[in-house]
Amino acid sequence: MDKISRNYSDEELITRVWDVENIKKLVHKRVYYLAEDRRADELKELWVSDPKHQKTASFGRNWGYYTGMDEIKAYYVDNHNTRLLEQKELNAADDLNVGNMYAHPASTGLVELAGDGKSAKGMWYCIAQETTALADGTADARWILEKVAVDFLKEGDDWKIWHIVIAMDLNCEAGEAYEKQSVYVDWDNDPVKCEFGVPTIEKLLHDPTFNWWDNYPFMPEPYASFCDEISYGPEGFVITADKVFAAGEGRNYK
Amino acid sequence: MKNHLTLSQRIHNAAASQEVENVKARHTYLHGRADATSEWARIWSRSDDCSWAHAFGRMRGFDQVWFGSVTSYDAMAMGNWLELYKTYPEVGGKDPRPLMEASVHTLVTDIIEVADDGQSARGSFITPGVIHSVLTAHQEKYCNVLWERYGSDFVLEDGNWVYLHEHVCGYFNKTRQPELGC
Repeated sequence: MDKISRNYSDEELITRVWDVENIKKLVHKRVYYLAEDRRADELKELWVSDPKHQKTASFGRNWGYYTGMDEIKAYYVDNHNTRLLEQKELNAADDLNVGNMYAHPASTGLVELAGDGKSAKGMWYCIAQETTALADGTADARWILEKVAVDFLKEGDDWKIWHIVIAMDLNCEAGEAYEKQSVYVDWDNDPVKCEFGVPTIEKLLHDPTFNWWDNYPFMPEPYASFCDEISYGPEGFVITADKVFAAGEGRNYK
Repeated sequence: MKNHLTLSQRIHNAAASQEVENVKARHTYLHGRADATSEWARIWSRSDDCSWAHAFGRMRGFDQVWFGSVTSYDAMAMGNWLELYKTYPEVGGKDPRPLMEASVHTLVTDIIEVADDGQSARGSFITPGVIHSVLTAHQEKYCNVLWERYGSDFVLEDGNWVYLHEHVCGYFNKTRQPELGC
């Protein structure tokens, strides 16, 4: 037990243990929803439902955040479904998602429940595989390595996803020699970035050119109660003086 | 099922198991940034008995572990930076440690046993991990696939769970797997 949990009664402590296990299950459920491409169900069942929380919900990737459930749904569900319909037509497929795969198994869970028990923060790592069926009968299959950071809120008796950041480290085509690919990634043609579109807040959150140097998303630490400074939403993203950079800055000196 | 323990002891040991799980995950995320200083300063016992072992043998006592895992590791990162900066001038001003590589030992299949007295714990984990880096001296990025097994002992010190012993056993270390696209 850490210094916080030593002060809890047995009943309080078992509630906290139970909460952490339920938070882990929530993230694991998201993995299965993703695999079955049940994005609308994910937002409806696993994400915050209180209108106040929905307003401040966010979905971040390397290039920024969508904020508010309406914006998140437009990106994550509506735009995705439009692309799937286009793919179905192009591939002359019988149904949506024929030949597609979305496997993002979550490992290395680290969950910090707030001292007040009202919120939690967690981090996972995914060695993921995504495959997209193409019209010529082949497929675009990719290895994707990504860190997943999540803020959770307890609504009633249920834990819900409030903020999520998926920071991709690597995205390469399976079967291609990674070391032969260009050192600097052409993000404008990256399938994940193209799918992400133009977020509500456009901002470079994680540049994998420097591995984990930028330390975003940062690892959850024990905390008493939630505040903006530790948020995985846009409020918690701070560029400190030693991290002022833009992609490619300082690169061109010969 | 340890039925001889009281309900209170079982609750406390269940909480301890979750704390140990977090300590292990902290190792992964700190090591991923090559932040050996924080790793050994925060989540390791300072005991003369602590040890860290791999295929090469066992380092024993905090000072030897620190030299092997922090001092020598930092030296590797500094050496790497000195080989990088002329080719990639943008590394200037950046912490050399995470620039070396992201060594991500993901954790699955954990078994954690907390002692009846709640003062120590033992764990087994498998790590199907990856080690990747973008800016390298040979100007080719890489992603190695590294699978290992961990045997870990933990102790409760001043209310915090910390490592006492770690034994790492390699399964395989496959560098540059073009057939996997890595």
